[in-house]
Amino acid sequence: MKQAHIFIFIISFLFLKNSVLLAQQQIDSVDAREKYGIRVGADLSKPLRSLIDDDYSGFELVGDYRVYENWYAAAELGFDEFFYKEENINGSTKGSYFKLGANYNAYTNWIGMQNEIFAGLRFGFSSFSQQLDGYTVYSHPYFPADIREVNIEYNNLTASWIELQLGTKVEILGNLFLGFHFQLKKRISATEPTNFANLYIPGFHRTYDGSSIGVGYGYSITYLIPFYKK
Amino acid sequence: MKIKLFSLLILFGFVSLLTGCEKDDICPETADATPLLVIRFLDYEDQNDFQSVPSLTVKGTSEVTNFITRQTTDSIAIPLKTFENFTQYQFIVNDVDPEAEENTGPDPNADLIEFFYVPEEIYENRACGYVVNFTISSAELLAETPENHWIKQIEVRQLNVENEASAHIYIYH
Repeated sequence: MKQAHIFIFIISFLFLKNSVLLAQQQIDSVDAREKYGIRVGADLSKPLRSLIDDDYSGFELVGDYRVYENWYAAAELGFDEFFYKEENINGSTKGSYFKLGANYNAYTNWIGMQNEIFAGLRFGFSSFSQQLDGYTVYSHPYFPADIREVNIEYNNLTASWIELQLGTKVEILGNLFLGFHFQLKKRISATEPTNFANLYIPGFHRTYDGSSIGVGYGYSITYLIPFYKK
Repeated sequence: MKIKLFSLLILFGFVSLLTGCEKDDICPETADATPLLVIRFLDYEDQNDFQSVPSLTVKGTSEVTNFITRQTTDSIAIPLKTFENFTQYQFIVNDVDPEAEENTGPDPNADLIEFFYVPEEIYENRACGYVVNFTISSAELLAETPENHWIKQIEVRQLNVENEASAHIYIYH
């Protein structure tokens, strides 16, 4: 009996020793190096909005590449179609766009984590067309309302802008990220259609009279394909 | 940590919702609409003098209601039809209230004027859409039998109706 006790004591001690060793090994095996690679995905809000909003359809592919420490080269490529019914104008805008630029991650991660709070800058360019379907002439109500059904298409329109993005990306599963960002844009050029205006610009979203500022947002889901660790 | 980041996501979501409605969604009352045709009335005998028309009623011949009812004025501004290239108006001088007991003044006299013009649609802005400017071709006093015109002469002063800053038409009576 006594012998047995001693035996168990020794065995357990060995186990303890083993587990301590295991724990040490585990600490040693945590890889402090960070993953570098290309991250690709899509915007979630655009297909969702396409489903629930009859006046919109669009999609956007997003991607970034970790160039150096907290710096990422980033790009978006997308398509937007807006149908609008303003107070006096009906029409639509459709076209594609790309955005090129970089993100800076300002968030310091714990070892093994790779979340982001980032600020980004983009150059955006859109090529699009506009369709004017109808309008009501803004005139004195003494005579019946002058409602025009027209079908005028304005093709080969382009616009470019600078975009500031602020947002976050969170790793929800291994290498799978969910992100949200807010966009502030300043238009730098646009071809204005004759006797009409660009009420929407794909990628830029809606415009504001007498202002070159635009706003937007994006919800992205992306997957990181690691190339190497550093 | 993840909870913190997700609450940040939600906060950003609210910010984007707030930017939904803007002032240029609604066409303001003060915005420049399609300009009215500005008419001034002058004395036929002394053509430098503006002369008020007593109890003037102005009515589009296609409309049921008056545009101006029994005003004594030497200056009016009336709309033109934007969907046609002509508008016909009835100008009644010394118009009387149909509910008045009896007419003690001079008899009313109605003259018809037809304005011919070329309308041109011009984009204004997002909320107001389009306005129309006009180029007047002519303003004609229509014949009547027996002839009893109170309007003696019509003069087109400005061919382009783009604003209401000054008179487009002079009517001598």
